[in-house]
Amino acid sequence: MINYIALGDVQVVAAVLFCLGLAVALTRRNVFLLLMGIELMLNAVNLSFIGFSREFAGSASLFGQMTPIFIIAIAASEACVGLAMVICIVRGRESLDSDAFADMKE
Amino acid sequence: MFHSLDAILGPAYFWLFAGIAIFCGLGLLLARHPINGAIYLIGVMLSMSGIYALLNSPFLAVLQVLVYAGAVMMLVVFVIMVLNQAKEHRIPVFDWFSLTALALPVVLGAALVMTTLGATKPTFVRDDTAGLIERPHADQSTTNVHFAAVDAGEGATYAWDFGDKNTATSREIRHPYAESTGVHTAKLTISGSKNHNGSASVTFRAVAVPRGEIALLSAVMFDIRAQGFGFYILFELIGVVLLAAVVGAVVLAKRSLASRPPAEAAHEAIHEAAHEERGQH
Repeated sequence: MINYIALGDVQVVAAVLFCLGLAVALTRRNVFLLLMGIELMLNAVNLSFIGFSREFAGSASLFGQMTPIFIIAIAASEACVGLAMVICIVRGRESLDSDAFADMKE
Repeated sequence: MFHSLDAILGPAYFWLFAGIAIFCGLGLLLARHPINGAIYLIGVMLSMSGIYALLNSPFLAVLQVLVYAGAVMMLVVFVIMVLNQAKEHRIPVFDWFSLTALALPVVLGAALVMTTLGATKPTFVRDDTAGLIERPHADQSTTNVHFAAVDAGEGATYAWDFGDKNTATSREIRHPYAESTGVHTAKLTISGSKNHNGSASVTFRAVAVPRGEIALLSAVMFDIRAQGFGFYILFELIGVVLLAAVVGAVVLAKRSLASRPPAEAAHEAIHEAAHEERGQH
């Protein structure tokens, strides 16, 4: 079949979404928004892999299809442990501000 | 006319979904409350699932909705609601430090977008000022490309050159490309016509059968004799990682229950004892 959606367009969208996720993770101080920014970055990388998977033949294409599956599984376990840690920390501090968890600095 | 619809609708749907995804990403960046951010992130994930489906990855599109938009975001929303009484409204949305940190993603994004736009060539080029070739189209699952020339009247001869050493002379032709993935250029020369003489070419990028089919992906992962152990062992390892994550989450939650201040725990123990006594009477 003929490829009408250009690879460059897919990669530009993936890059913009990755940088939005990075901006959320760097600038927002709420721990939930921090975790969600990391999820958005992982999603953008998946989109990039799928765009490349469509463009190349052979094992490169299969690699581009398999890697997102593993990234999704890793992101699910990351969300599971991350949220458990948030619950654990917030119960002791009564705060969702990531600056409240800066004990290592002192 | 109908067959060229997917050539127009494909990019149109892609930019629609991409626009929704980027809008919701900005919404996540500017959200006041994390629950609003979570809903924006679900919007990003659903529109990305649409993009995956457009990019011939139906299995990953379904997985995105099930695991990301379904399971992971449900867990996030649930935990936000559980901890909603925490004093998050005191946290400023942005402060001076975070605004300086914003420079990094802005610079990185500009650099990535500029290099990507500089490095990629257009996917579809039609060198055809006279409009001699109709837009070629292909079947969904094969690289049988259908070409058609304009009707040049009686006595005209059509000479096609498909770029893979094959030629043809009919007005409409269905040509199977042996090499499925890659850039192909087809040339057409019309002669002997009253008003449509000349030559034109069309360059396009063909892709093979849909890559994201479940049969193909499961064969790659589980057919050990053909593919080797690589992906299969990775699959098993991911299972172990998920199991460890579940156990870790349970242990963390348990410890957070056990590590209450002793005074409070003793207070509750007295209450429970009083309850039991009342129950006995």
